[in-house]
Amino acid sequence: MKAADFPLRLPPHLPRLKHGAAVLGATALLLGAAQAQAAATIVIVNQNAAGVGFNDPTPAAPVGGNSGTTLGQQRLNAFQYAASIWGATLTSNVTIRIGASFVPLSCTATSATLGSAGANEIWTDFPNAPRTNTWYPSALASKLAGEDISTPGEPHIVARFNSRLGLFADCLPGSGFYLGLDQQFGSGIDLVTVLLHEFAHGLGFQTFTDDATGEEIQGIPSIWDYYLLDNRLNRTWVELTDAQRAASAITWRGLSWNGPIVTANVPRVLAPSSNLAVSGAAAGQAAGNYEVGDASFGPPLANPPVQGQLMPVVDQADGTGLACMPLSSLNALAVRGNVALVDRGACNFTVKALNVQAAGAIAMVVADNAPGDPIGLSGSDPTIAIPSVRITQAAGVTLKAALQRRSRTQSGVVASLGVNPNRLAGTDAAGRILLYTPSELIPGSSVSHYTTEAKPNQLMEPAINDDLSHQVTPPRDLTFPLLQDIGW
Amino acid sequence: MKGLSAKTMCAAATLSLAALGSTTARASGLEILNEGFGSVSGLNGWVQVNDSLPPGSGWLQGNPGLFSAQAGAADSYAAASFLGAANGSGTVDNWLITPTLDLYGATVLDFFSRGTGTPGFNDVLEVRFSSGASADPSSFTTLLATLGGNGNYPSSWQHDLVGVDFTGSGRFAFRYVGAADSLNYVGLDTVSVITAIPEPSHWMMLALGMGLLPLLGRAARKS
Repeated sequence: MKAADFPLRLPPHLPRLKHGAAVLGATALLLGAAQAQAAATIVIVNQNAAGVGFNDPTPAAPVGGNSGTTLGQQRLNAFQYAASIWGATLTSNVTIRIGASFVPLSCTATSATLGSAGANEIWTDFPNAPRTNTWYPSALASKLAGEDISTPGEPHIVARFNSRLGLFADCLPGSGFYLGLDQQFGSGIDLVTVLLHEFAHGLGFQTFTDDATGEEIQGIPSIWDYYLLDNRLNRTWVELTDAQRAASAITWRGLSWNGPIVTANVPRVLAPSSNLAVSGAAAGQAAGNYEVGDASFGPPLANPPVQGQLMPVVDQADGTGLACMPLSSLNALAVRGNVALVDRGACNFTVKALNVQAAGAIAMVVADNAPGDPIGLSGSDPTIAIPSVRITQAAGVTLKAALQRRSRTQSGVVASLGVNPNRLAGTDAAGRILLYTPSELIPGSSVSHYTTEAKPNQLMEPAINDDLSHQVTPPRDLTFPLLQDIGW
Repeated sequence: MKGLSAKTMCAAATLSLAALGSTTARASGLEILNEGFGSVSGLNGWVQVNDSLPPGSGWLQGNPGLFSAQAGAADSYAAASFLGAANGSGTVDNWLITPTLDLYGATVLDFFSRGTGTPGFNDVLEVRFSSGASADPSSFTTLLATLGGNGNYPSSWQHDLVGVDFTGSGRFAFRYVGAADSLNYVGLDTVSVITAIPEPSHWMMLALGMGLLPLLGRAARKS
C-alpha cells in the first residue's frame, strides 16, 4: 500500500499561532503495556545551534520545579514537561517529533510574537485515512495510519519561540517567559501554557485553508474544515465556495465548531455568558442588552447582577474619560455607588478599575476607542473588587447619548451587569462553541482559534490569559475534545 | 394641561374667559400661555439660545430618573444642567424663551421649578423680560426674579409667581447660568402667563369671537 499520495511540506509561515514555543528534548512517556491508558510519545528535536536557544549556557537558578541550571536546560525542561502533558492525553503508536528552536522573533518594547507552531507536513489519502481527498496534519496522519508516514528526517511539528522575549529593552522587557512548571508565573508569561497551546496547533488545531481567500491547498479541504460551520448559512466549510469561506472568516460570531465531542463537552466547560442590560426611565433608545467582553481581573459577572445607575467619567477636553488618574471630586461624586463608564486608552484597564473603585464605583464599563467587536479587558490585579466589562465604541456612543440628561449623581440610565443563564459564553444559538473570527482578518489567528468570548478562558484562544491552567481536557478545557473530533 | 397645541391653548383661553362671566371679567386675567413641556423639542413659538462657553446641550426633556414632573407624565418638564456647557466644562448660559405674547398691563408669569437637592452645587435660574418680539438674549434687560444662588435652589417643586406691568408685545425668558463646575440640574414645569383683561377696544374684538361659545354651551345643556 502506498504511503500517501504525496506529502505537502508547509511553508514556514503557515504555523498559525501568535505565541511561540519551541521544542526540544526528548520525550516523555513510554507506551504502557495497557493500551487503555492514553499515551503517546513526544520527542523534542533541538534545532538550535550550539550556544543559543536550548543550548544557551547562561546560568539559571532552578525555578518552580524546573531544576535546570542553565537557560537552555530550563527551556528544554519546560518543553519536555509540556510534551509529557500532551503525551499523557493523546494516544498514538507513532512517536511524535517536534522540531523546536528558540530564535529571535519580532518584538517591540510593548508587544512581541511569543512564537509559532504548526504541522510541518500535511498528508492526504494515506493508509486508513478516515476521509479521502482530505488534508491531515502529519502527526495525526501517522497515528491514523499506524505508522510514521512523515518524510524521513522531518519532524511532524515545527515550533519556534522568541529567544529574546523579556531579555532585551526592545522586546517586552520584564515580561519574559516563566520557565517554572508550577504555574506561579507572576508577571511573566507561563512558557508551559504557551507550549501546550502551540503543540495543539501542530497536532491539528488549525485549518490549512487560506482564511483570507477561502482557497483550499490544491483544492483539497483539510479535516478541520469538515467541522467548521458557517452558522448563518448552516453549512460547513467543505460545502462553501472560496468567497463564502473568506466571508465567514471575518464574520464575528459567524463560525462555529460543529464537532460532536466538543459540542457534547461545551456545557461541562463553559459558563453562562456575560451580559450588560440597560434600562431605566431615561434609557430611551439605549435600553436593551449589550454584548460585552469580560475582564481578566475583578470578580466575574454572575447572577444576581451588579446593578446601578450608569455614570460617565469625564476628564478629557473632548468629553471622554480615561480614569488614568485618581478621579476629581466631581467625577468621584458621579460614580460613587454607581456604575462608572470610562473610555479605553492611555493606561492599563486595571489602572482605570482601581481609580473608579477608589472613588466608590460598584462596577466599570469600558467603551472601546476604536471600531470593532466586543473583546475582553486584559490585566491582573488582585486588589480589584468590582466587576468590569468592555463594550464596543458604537455601544459607548449610544449610551453616552442617553447620559446627556443626567445630573451630577444620577442618570436615570440603569446598567445591570450579570449573566444570561440561557446562553453559554462563547457559543452560538445552538450551543456550539464559536471560533475566533474578528471583523478584521488577523492572519495566523483568525479561524484557527476558539473565540475570545469563552468563559472560562480557553487554552486555544488567540491570546494567553492569566487564568489558564495546564489542563487541556474537560471540565476545564476544550482543546483535547477538538483534537478528538478530527481523529485523535 | 400638558402638551397643548396652539389651537387647544386658544380654546382653553376662551373657555377660561367665558367662565369668568361678564361681571368679573375686568377684575380677572386672560391666560395667554400654558405650557406643560410634554415635548421640549416640539415647543411651539418658544426659542432656545445657548450662549454657554463652549455650548453643550440646550434645555432638554426632563429626566424622570432624577425626579418626576410637577404635573403630567413623569418626563413632561424642561430641564437644564451643567452639560449646557460642552462636557460640563466652562460657563453655562442657557436660555429658554417664551413665544411672543400680547400683554395688557398687569401680567403674571406663573411656573414651577426645582433642583435635585444635591449639596455642593449652586444652581441659578434667572427670569427675565423683554419688550417686543426679539429673542436675542441681550434684549432681556429686565430681571424679574432669580431662583437659587448660594446653594439654595428648591429641592422640591416650588410654585413661583412673577409680575410685570406692560402693554404690548413681549417675551419672558428662563436663563440657567453659572460656572459649569458649580451647576447641577434643574427642572421647569407648568409655565403659564395670565395678563390683565384687555382694554375695551381689544375686549370687544375678542368678545365677538367668543360670544358663541357660551351660547352653544347653554344650548347643549338644554337639550
